[in-house]
Amino acid sequence: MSASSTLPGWLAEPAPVVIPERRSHRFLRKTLARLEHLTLALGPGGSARGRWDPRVKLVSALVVLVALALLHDPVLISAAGITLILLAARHRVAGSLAVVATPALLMTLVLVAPATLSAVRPGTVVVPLWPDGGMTAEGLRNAWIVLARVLACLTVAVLLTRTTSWLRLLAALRAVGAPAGFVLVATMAHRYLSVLADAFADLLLARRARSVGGATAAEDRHFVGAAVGALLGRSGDLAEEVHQAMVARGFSGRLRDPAPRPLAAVDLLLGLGCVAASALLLWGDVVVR
Amino acid sequence: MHIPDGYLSPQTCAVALAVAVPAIAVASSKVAREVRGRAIPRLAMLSAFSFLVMMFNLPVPDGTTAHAVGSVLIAVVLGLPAAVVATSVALLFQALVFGDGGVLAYGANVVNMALIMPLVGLAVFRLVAGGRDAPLPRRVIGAAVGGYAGIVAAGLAVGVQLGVQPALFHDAAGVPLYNPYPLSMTVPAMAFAHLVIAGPAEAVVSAAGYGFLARTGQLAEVSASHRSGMLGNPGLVSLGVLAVTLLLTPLGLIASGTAFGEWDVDQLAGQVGAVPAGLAQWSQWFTGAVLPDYGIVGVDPVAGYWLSALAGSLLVAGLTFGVCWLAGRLCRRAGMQVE
Repeated sequence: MSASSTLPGWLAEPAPVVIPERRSHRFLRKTLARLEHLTLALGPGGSARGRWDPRVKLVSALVVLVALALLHDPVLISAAGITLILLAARHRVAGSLAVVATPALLMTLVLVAPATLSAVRPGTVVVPLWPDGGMTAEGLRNAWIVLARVLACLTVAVLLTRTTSWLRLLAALRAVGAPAGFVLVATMAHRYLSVLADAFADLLLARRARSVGGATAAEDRHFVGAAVGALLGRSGDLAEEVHQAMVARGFSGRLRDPAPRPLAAVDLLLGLGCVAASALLLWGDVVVR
Repeated sequence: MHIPDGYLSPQTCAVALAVAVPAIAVASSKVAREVRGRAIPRLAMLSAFSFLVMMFNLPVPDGTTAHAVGSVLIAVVLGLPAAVVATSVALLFQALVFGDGGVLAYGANVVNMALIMPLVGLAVFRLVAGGRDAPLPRRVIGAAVGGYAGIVAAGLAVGVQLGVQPALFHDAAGVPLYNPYPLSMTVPAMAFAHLVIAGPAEAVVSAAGYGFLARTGQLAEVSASHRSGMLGNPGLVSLGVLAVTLLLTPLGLIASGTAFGEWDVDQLAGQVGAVPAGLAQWSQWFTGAVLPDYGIVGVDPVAGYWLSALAGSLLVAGLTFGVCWLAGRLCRRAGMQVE
């Protein structure tokens, strides 16, 4: 046997092949789920029209939010929160409230839970958990205040956004003094968000379809960077197309506000009612203290 | 990093909003001047991009996921004003669609993620990446370091805003009315989370996004209309400085005692038993301070501190504006690229 016919060493004793750990695309699934949620939220069914004027709603919501932030008494904050939740149920937005509030409340609970313990914030122990320590009255009171306030504020935000169409809400922002350019950008961003979100979802789905066995963490990170860059490039292209369409329709760069509709008496009364309720809550808070 | 309603006092929210609103206004007009009629669709798409980037869960080394903000990438590619407006609009949607970040706390979130973050990130990028002619690997590294530094700075800002709440806003029994944790807990917690998890995520997004645009030849095209950098935006830079100084102001109310080496004559005499002759002579040389001991004669000490802090912050922001404006003019006169 000639020397040339012998197997080379690297073939006779092959080195063990190291296969990098490949994981399923958990982050892709999570992002796709959030995109689906976004598409539903932006859909036409996502915002029922309320009867109130959106300007009154917006200002009333801000007044109520400030009042809630100024309240110190846990009983009053809880009462306000319950009233707002009942109002949300009456306007059939309790489902949206549950979707938005559940993660926020869970996160708040996790955050404030350690502050109820005497080891973190010393105080009068009311729930003993270990010798000479446990949950304190001060910690529980603070946790209750924060939780009730977060829930009440979220309820106000959900009531405002789910009972008003986006366009009317953004027009109301302009009516209360937000810069015209900012409102126009927000309006247009809302309009094209679903277009860009669809393009983004296509990108993620294509990636998922092309890597059945999952990918390594490094490959995933490489893909994320490229996807973000591609998305930025796509948003630039879309902006150019939209600008050309705007120019074709006669856009000259000048922004014009539509003439505001006069406020009805009932809207004014409802707004004043919200302000009065907020003032009553604050007065009650001062009396209780 | 998105602060929900209920964690910050209305006073804190009001101060943050007072910085955020002019920042958005200045940035909007700046972009409108730079790209003329293209500004509206471009900013709208960038806002949608920023919103989607914040939804993108990125795998991080510990097996979990984190999301980036993307404002440093926008600032690096398209400039600070574009980053401010795009991120502000994205934050507005997040607060209203997902309840991610509060409505009252919107100003604080804008200051952290739409102002401080791109400002710090862009400054670090310019420092690391050098000029426009620097090799691509260096610019990519600059984008990564800028993204990392930007999000860590924003995280620290959140830590300070949350941490000052229990000391400043509590009831008669000392029970905190808003966030319950003091600075000694919030700052390390936020620093750890952003140094270890969110920082790498933002670095990956900024570097890979920048690298992708450069490799595919889109960088020059996308940033063709963008001319100005830090010195070209004196209004935004000075507002960022104002935000940082206002953020640090409450720390003075919480700190107790006198800083090392800043004792007055009586305190020094009490500590060492005697006052050196030279110090006794020269310590009284100038007594005409406008706001002595950060207070105002006849005004409550805390109110005086706030007023003097506001005056000092406005002075520093004004000086920053003046220096940036002057430097920008000198650069333009010399025919240099304004960076």
